[in-house]
Amino acid sequence: MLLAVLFQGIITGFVYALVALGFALIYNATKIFHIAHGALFVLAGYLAYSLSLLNLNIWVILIPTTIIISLIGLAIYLFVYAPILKRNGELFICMISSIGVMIVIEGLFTLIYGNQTKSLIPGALVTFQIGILSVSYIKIIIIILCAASFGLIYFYLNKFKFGKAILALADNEELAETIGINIQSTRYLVFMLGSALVAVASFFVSIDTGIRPDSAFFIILISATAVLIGTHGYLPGTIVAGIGLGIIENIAIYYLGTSWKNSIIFSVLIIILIFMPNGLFSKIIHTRGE
Amino acid sequence: MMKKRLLLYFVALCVLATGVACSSKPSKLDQETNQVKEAVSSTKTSQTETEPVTIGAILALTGPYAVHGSRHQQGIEIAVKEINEKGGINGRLIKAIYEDNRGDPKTAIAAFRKLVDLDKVPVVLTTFTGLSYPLIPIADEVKTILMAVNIQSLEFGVRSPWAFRIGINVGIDADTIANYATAKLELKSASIFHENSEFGLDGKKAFTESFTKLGGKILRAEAYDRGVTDYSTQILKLKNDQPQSVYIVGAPSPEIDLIVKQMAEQNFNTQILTNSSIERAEFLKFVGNAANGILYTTPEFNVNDPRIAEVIRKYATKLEMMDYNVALFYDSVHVLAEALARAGTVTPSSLKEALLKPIAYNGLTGKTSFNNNRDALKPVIIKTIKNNQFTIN
Repeated sequence: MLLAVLFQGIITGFVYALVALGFALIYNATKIFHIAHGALFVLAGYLAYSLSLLNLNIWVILIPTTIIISLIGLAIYLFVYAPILKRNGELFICMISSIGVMIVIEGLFTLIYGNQTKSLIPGALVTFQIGILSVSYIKIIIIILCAASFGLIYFYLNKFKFGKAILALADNEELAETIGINIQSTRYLVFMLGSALVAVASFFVSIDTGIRPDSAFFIILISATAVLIGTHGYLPGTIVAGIGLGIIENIAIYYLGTSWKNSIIFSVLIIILIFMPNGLFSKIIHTRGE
Repeated sequence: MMKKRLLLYFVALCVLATGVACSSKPSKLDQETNQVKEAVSSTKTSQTETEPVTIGAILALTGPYAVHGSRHQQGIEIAVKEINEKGGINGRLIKAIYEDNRGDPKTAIAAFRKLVDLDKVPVVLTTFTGLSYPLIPIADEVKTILMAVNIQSLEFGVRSPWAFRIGINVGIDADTIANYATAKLELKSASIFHENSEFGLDGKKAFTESFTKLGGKILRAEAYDRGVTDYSTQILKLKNDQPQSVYIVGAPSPEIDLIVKQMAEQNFNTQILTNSSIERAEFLKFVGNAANGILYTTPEFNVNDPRIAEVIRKYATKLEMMDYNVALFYDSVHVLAEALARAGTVTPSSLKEALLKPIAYNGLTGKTSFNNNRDALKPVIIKTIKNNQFTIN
C-alpha cells in the first residue's frame, strides 16, 4: 500500500519538479520572483482545453500551447518587468507587479470558465494494474516526458551557447556582460524557457487530473519551496526537492488527509532550513566554489 | 544576498497568502450596520392594513451564485403574481422585497437587518447553507422568521424557534440510500468519502447512523477538501479496505466529478452511492462512462408532471428554468400566503403560529408540513445513471 502511495507521490513530484525548474531558471537568471509563473500554469491548462474543443489530437495541442505560453511569459517580462527595471525599479516592485498579473489572469479564467475543473480527456483514463495500484498510461508518459525534459534542459544549459549564457547570467550578471553575453536576449530566452516548462507541466496535469482556476498560488508556493529546499542556484537540487515534495505530500495525505497538505510542506521547509539554511545541496555548491 | 532576497520574497508570499485566507472587513460591516441604524432612526415604516403584505427574500443576485439567484427570484415572482391575481391575502396584495447577498455571508447579514429594521417584513426567504446559517442568531434576536429553502444540513430549524426550513436534507438522502443499499442490494459494508464541511460531516453522520442501524458496517470515513485535483491517494486508502459500497457526500462541485473519475481510473470496484450533487450535465460529460451504475437520491420532482409542466408553459417568458429549487421558492411563497391569510395579522409571531398548523396547499413539490423542529422535509427518490443518462431506478 505504501509503495502505491510512493509511486503516486513520485508522479506528483515529477510535475512539481518541472514547474519548479521553470521558476528556478527564471529566478536564478533574473532575480525576479515571478509569481505570475503560477498563473501561466493555469493559463496553459485552459488554453489546452480550449484547443481541445477543436477536436485536434491531444498531443498535437501540446505544441501550440507551449509556444503560446512561452510568448506570454516573454510578454510579461517585456511589458511588466522590463519597464520597471529600466526605470531602476526595485526587484520587489517586480514581484508586486507579478502578483497583479496573477490575480488578473486568475480572474479572467473564472470569468470565462467558471470554477469548473476542465480536463483534456473526458471520462476515466485507460489504466493497467500494478499490484493494488491502477496506473493510467498518461502517468507513465508524465514520468518519461518529465525525465526527458530534465535531461534536455541539462543538456541545453551545459552544451549550447545560449544555455551557457543562462548559467553565466545566473552566476554573475556583471561578469556575464563583461564577457560579451547579451543580457536582454538571455533574459528573453530564460522567460520563454521557464514558461515553456510550466506549459508542459500544466498540459500533463490537465490530462491527468484536470485544471482549475485557483491552483496558481499553490503552484508558486511549491516552486519557491522546491528552490529553497533544493538550494538556490542548484537546478538538480530543485528537481530533487520537487520530487521529494510530491512524495511527502502524498504520504501526508495518506496518513493525515488533504487538509494537512500545505502544513506538512511548510513544516518540511522550516525543518530543513533550520538545520540546513542553504538547502539540502549547499555543500555541493560550496565544493564548486560558487 | 540573493538567498536573503529569495527568503524575503518567500516570506512576503506567505504573508500575502495568509492575508487572502483570513481576509475580513469588519469595518465595512460596521459601516453598513451604522448606515442601516441611521436609516431606521430617520425613517419609520410599518405594514398597515392598506399597504401590500411584504415578504423579504435574500438571494444571490450577483456574485458566484448569481445564475441560481435570478432563477429563484423568478420562482418567487410567478408565485406572487398568481396570489395577487386571485385577490392577494385577505384583500391585500403581496409583494416581495429582494436583497442581494452577493454570495457573501456578511452582505447577507446586512441585507437581513435592512429587511427587518427598515422594511418590517415578518419573514425572510433565503437559501445556501453558508449564506443562511449566519442569519439564524439575528432572526432569533429580532424575532423574525427565517425561511430557508433547501438547506441540506441536518439541523437548521432546531437552532432557533424562528428558523424554518423547507426542502430536503442530507438526513433524508442518507437514510433513503442506506435503506435501499441494505434492503435491495443487500450491501453489508460501506466507506464514506465526505466533503470536509458541515454539510459533508452531516452526511457522514446521517449515513453512518442509518447504515449501521440497518446492520451494515462502516469501514472508513475519509474527508475530501475542496480545491484539490488529485484524490488518488485517498481513493487508494478506501480501495484497500474493499468496501462493497462508497457513499460520496458533498455539495455539487467539480471535486465530486474528479473523485468519481479517479475512482474509475483506480479500478475501484464498488457501488457508488451519492446524492443529487451529481445530477448535472457537466458531471456526465466529465466522468463519461464511469458514471454508469451510480445510485443517488434526488428530490421527488419531475418537470414532466402535468401540474409542473402547466406552470412552465404558462410562465415560459418569465421562467428561465424550472428546477427543484425554483419550485421550492414558488411553493414557499404560496405556503406563506396561506399562513398569512390564516394568521390575520401580519406579524412574525402570528405567522409562526400559523405555519405550525396543517397547511392545505399542495404545491409543485407536494404538500408542506412543518414538524416540531420547523422542518418541512420533502421526499426523495432513488435514481441511477444508465447509458450516460439520469434515469429513475
